[in-house]
Amino acid sequence: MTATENATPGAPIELRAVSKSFGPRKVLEECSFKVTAGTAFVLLGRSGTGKSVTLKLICGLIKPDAGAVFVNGEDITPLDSNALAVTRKHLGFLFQTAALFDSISVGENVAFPLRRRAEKPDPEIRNRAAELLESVGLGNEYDTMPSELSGGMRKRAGLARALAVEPSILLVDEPSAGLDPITSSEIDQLLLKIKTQQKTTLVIVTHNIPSARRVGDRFAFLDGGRLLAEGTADELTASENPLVRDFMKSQQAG
Amino acid sequence: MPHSIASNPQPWLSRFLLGVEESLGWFGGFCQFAGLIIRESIRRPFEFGELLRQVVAVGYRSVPLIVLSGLAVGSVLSMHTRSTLERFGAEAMIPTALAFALVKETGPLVTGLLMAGRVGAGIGAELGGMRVTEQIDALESLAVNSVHYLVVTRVWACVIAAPLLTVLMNFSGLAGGFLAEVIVSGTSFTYYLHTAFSSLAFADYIPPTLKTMVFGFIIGTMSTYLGYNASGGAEGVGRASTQSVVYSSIGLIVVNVLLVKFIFFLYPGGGA
Amino acid sequence: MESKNKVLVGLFVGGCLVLFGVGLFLIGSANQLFTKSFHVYADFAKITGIQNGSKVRVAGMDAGTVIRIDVPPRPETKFRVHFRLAEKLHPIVRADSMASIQTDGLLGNKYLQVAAGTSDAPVAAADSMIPSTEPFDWGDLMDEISSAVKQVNGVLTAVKEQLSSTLTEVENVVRSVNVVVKDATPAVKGIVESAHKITGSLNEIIDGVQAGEGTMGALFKDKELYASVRRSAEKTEQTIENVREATASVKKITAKVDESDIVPEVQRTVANLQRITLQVKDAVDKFQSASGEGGVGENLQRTLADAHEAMSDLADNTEALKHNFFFRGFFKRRGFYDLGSITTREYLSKGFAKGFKQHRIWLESAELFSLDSKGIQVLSPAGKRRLDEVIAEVMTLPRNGPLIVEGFAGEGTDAQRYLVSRRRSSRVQTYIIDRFRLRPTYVGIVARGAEPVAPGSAVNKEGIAIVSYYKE
Repeated sequence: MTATENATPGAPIELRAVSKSFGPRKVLEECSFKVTAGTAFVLLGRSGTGKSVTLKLICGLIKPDAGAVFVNGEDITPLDSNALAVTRKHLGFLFQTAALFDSISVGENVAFPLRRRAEKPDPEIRNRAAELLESVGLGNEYDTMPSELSGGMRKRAGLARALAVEPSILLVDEPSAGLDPITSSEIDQLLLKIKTQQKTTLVIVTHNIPSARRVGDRFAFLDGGRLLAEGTADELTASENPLVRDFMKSQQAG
Repeated sequence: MPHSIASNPQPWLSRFLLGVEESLGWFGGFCQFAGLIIRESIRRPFEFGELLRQVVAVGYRSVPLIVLSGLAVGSVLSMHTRSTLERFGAEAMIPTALAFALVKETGPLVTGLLMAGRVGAGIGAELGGMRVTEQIDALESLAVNSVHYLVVTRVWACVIAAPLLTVLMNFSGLAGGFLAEVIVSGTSFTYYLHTAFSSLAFADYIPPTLKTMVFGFIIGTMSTYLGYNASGGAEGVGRASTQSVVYSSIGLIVVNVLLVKFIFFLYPGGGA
Repeated sequence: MESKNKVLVGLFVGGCLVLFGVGLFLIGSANQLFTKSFHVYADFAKITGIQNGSKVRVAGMDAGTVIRIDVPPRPETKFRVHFRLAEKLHPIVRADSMASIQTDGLLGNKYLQVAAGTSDAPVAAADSMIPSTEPFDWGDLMDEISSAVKQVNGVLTAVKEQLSSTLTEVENVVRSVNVVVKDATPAVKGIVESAHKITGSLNEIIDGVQAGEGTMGALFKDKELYASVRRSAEKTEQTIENVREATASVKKITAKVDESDIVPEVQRTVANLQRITLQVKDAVDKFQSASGEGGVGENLQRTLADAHEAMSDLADNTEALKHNFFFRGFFKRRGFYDLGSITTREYLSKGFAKGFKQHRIWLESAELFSLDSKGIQVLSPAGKRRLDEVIAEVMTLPRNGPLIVEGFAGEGTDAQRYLVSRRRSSRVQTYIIDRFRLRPTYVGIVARGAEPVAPGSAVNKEGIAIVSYYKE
């Protein structure tokens, strides 16, 4: 971390000329954007265009080949796993498949991050976990095993787990993937609630335009590893780039 | 480097070199991973709860398999020794011969191979599954060091369980041998056990039992390495599971040769 | 969840550790680690595979282990083997308890055997040394045997020299007596014959010993011993016992030869002979000075008879020596002990000169003998020449077996034929021994005149056959 490379103030997340490739395949090329605190930033694009990779880069799960990733003002690219763990305390991550731990119950999944911090006695942790489940509408599922849950319920449980540590940044990977429009809308409502009530900064990856429009403040369009456009929904709809325009419109209609 | 290999005019040669390069890379990764495990082992905090869970999974749940196999191996070995020793009129040597065979080599090796089968496959599949369903990423995102939490605990569970299961295997084997023997000659269990251990020295008993800790380390490290780095969905999980068994078994058989030599070097008299 | 895991882990780890401990305890108690014990040691020149941790048994009971072996600093010092014995066996371990190194079964481990002591000896003190016997070793046994052989050899050579010088003297005296006293001829002849026999026997024995045949041969060609060596894989212990017994008897014989029996007897006889010779000399002197006095002649005859007897004893002794265990093998294998006393039946048996080749020359009676003035058959000058030719031919063969003169006669009764055939062979024997300086014990006679006459067989013939036995 050199002195000249300081993060932009007021932007908890900033990517600066980040490139990443897996073998010969380039996933991101010179990609740069910032996210303002307390807003929802939506990454749009077709499948396999590096959207999920961007989220994992922000979380530090993968390292970029070039460029810098600032999280809460700190470049996380040179950090080792122990230093990353400190940064991640402020991060929540909702995975595409929710990634609940199969071996423990839904409630314990939510309690897991709380137990790791071990700041509270056991009954309090259980209460807090139950509260969180209640808040995502899974009040009766504390002792259910993850494999018994439906896709939407899993996603809500995953959200409860991500929120357990009260993160200032929440990374959401495909919140509506594999869900029916009604369930998808319910998840979006939850995300919106989190953004407005807890002032959490959201980074959402999706290709579902209605969902994106419901939650997002600013949008970016990724294609072939490049950021083709960035702006509000209207700006993107009016984009000069036909690909961006078509993408925004196609799903709006459908 | 890959460029120069790709431009090689001999396709079989380039394929071979690529294979060698890949294997070396794989092995290098493995060694790096083993080093990482050792480094992470001494780092606080110790994941005690998870370690307990893994000792139960790796050790306690292997008990029925080990006991049954031990009984079978012991009775079969006993029957074979009997048919051989009978020719020399040395039936009295059967418990001794069986104890030597079991304690010094068969017990540790069979235990190792059974563990590689049961535990190696289990860990390979479990971690592989966690990898492809992003559970490992989820752990990391929750500020948990996944190597420390998932890998180190499993490796240590294997290291702890291996010698204990070996002891269990040895005694089940002797019990099996006794059962086979009592039908033929009606000997007493106390006498059998005393005769079995009478010719053994501590150097025949302790080093071969403790060497299985190395087996445990190999099984744990190999299967966590393959599982942790699994990719490619359900198929990848299956592959990680199979390879865990195969590579652990090969690894421990090869290392066993070195260990036997090493123990023999340390205890020239008895030992290996 | 976690507390349940703790219980299961405790059950699993605890159970297995207990089993491990049981194993440790069993090994420890097999090695007498947990019984009260005391320490003693024993010295061995060779430890034949005993090592730290080797078992120690007291009178066959597992009693402890070897705890340390001190390597000798110099070649002539012994290994000191320290070991522990169970205290409960202490009362039977005495100061004279013998420690030895044994093998457990046919192929088993080496262990240290401590014999129970005798009740007269005090109980072996802790940290004391107990006596030991060296482990049995075939090589050692061989060394022992060959040293015994050398000893015997030396004794016999000494006896031989002493004897031959005395015998020469005896012969000289006898010859001068012979000139003086015609009447004493049978006694004098007897003396000379005995003297020949004695020197012959001794020569043979020494030859046999020097060829190394009568000794090791006796030991290992002895039928029973040989068979048990063959069975050694099955009954090692017993074989070793047999060999030990054999060595013991070899030693006894050596001792006998060396100290007690034969040598002093020989020496005594020799002294006797010298005394008698002096008496004879004395008597002859007196006889010559006072010729005609009958008393002196009688006196001389008695003295000569004494000498004859003494010589016969000596001859018997040397003969007996050949039959004893030590030299038996050699003579047995040769097929005969003494050609002088061989009977026709023995000669014709299969055992005679077994494995030797035969060279046979037939000589007609007419070729050899003529009648002298008294009508007795003697060798004619032509006959002597013929014999010279024949023997010269026989001499070209290897001379390692007996030379037999067979006598044949075809006329008269069995007794007459026997006597004639014996006389013929005897005359030829005497002639060729003198003529060719042959060793008398190697030239034998066999009278075959009394054999039943078979038509067309050589037995009818008149004459002799010279048969040389030899090995290539």
